[in-house]
Amino acid sequence: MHNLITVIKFELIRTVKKSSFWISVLATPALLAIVFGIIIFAQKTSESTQAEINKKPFSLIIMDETGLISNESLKQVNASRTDDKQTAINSVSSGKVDAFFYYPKDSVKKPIEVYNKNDGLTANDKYTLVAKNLLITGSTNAIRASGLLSIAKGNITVNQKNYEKGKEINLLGNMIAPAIFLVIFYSVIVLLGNQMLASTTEEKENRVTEMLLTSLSSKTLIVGKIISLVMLGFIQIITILTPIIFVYFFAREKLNIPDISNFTQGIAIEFWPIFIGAGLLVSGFLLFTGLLVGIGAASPTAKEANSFFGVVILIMFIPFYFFPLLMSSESSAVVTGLSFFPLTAPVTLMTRNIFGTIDISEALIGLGIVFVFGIIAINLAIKIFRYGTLEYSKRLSLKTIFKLKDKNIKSK
Amino acid sequence: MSNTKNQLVSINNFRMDFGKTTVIKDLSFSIEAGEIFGFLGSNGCGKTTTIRALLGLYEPTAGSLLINGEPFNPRTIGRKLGYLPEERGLYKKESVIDVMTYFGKLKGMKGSEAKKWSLDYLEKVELADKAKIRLDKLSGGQQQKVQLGVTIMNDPELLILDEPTKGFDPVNRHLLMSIIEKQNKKGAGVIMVTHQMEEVERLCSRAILLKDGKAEAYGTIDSIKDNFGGQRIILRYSGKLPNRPNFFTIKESDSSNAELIPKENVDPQRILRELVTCNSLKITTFDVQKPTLDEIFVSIYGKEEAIHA
Repeated sequence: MHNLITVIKFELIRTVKKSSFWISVLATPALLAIVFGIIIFAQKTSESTQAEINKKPFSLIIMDETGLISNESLKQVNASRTDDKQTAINSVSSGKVDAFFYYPKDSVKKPIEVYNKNDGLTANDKYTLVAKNLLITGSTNAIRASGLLSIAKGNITVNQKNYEKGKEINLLGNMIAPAIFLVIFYSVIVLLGNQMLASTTEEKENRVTEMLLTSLSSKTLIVGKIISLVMLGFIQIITILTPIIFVYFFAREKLNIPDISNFTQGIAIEFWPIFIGAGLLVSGFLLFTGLLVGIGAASPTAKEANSFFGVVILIMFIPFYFFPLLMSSESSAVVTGLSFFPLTAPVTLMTRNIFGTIDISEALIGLGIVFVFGIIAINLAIKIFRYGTLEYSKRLSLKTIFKLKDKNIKSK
Repeated sequence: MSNTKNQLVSINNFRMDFGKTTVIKDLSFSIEAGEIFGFLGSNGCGKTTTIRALLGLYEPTAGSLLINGEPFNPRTIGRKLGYLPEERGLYKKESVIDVMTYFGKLKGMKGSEAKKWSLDYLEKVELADKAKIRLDKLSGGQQQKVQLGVTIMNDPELLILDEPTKGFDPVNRHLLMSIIEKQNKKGAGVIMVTHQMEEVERLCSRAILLKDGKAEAYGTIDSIKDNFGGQRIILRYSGKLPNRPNFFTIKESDSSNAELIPKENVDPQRILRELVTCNSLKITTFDVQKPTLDEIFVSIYGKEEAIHA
């Protein structure tokens, strides 16, 4: 226990002390800050441009064959009517009037014609904007008169009830809790995958393994490294979530972020989906950690180990190519294969758990497979580390790995 | 074989197969507490394999490898063991003091104790100002000093040094030798796996020479020399040196000096008696010299191996 704590502390502190760790951790919130900054800037610029347009009125003539544009609307933009289209166009081209809008009778099918003096590429947009708004306002007023405005705007309330096996179910609410496990699983592997790969190559590259293994067992070293990685993952998640939570609570309205309080109230907390999700998260983490640490231990350098990261991520993404099948309750050979093949099982089963398209018995068999292979992967990783790190400059072949039992390597 | 009571290391009928290849055939030897023991052999003869098996890194195919009567355990024996492997290095991107403290803690020292020991050691080897510097910022020689410090932390009872002078500059080689002698005086047993025969002759009381996975010679340095044979007689004389092919062959000679090689099973004293009876010869000095370990090594492993070594 003393050595395990020593390894965890050493691995944790030395990583947290590295500036590269904080750069990678802060990159995501920094990117979010930049994106939100651009949105705010664009919004403010747009508002001030609109204000500029409003402040600077222009002379306008319109010819309205739709009959939808009211005199009141025309008054607001200081416009007058005409029946002579060509004269109005001439007035614009000669500079007597700033703009002329022609609304043909069937404005749904035919375009509005806008004639205006040139104010520059950006400023010319104001004429189109006003031309459209006059017709929209006229149309809205016409609908309002018929009492159908609310429906036209899409303000419709729907009460939907879903039934399954004689029980009413909240589909979206049921999906949220299991989805959290998939998000955590993905985040952990994506954020920590590279570090898992590189965690053992440093000992190998620096020829430090033999000295270490006379003071502690390889199992203690690997387990200590994994625990420190999990702790680093928590630090990363907290660092990323803190600014998001801060922005949500203190700048939600300003940034037009939707209120999720009603949404969170609908989250269903049920035993089996949460048990299966949590079980798959832990066993899937064990499996992929074992795989990544094993690859790292078998590779002579961190650079070479990192080249396998893309492959691992690709394996994780394979189930998403069959997304429609995973959402369906109908059984298929592909879904069954993906559900029981150890490397695709975690994501497949977690996705099916989200959509409720998996039986408990099937989920438990899949969970058992992932868990067993997770334990095997971790033990194999420890053995590969023990042998691979003594073969300092060699990369272990698959043949060698599968013959490790003949290599007289202790796996304690 | 030594008295079992004092045995620090005991290796009995050790056999090591890697797949179909047998690296160690049947090896037995022991090392006593407080002795400096030479573990010699050509490249690839199984020295490092034996050490790795002794330290629990490899599982032996057969036999037992014990330290203080027990198989190696990092949590107990490992805390009182200093190991300088042939393939050596440290965490290069960490500071000197962090790395030393880490290894000290792994050897069972308290954090503060390991840090204090490390600072004292760095002071002694004139690296006190480098304590907070990253290891890869130090010169090769300075890194070697840190490596030696890590090896002897927590006053080990057993020091295992695999090719200890490999890659060391003369200053650090001298430092290493003084550390070996100092730790030995404190009571530590030392296993030196090496090709450097002069160091073995100077420091070791006993040794084993390994060839093809078996002990070719084992015992005290003198007994190895005696058993190996290869004695020569350096003779200073006046008069005429007689030729006695049944007793010796003359390797080199001039008018007053000669080097004689005794025939197999002929004692040098018998040769002396033979020469004394010769009236035409007056002997000034008669000096019997044993072979050096270097000569024994060359004889066992061949000249090519000696060049590689």
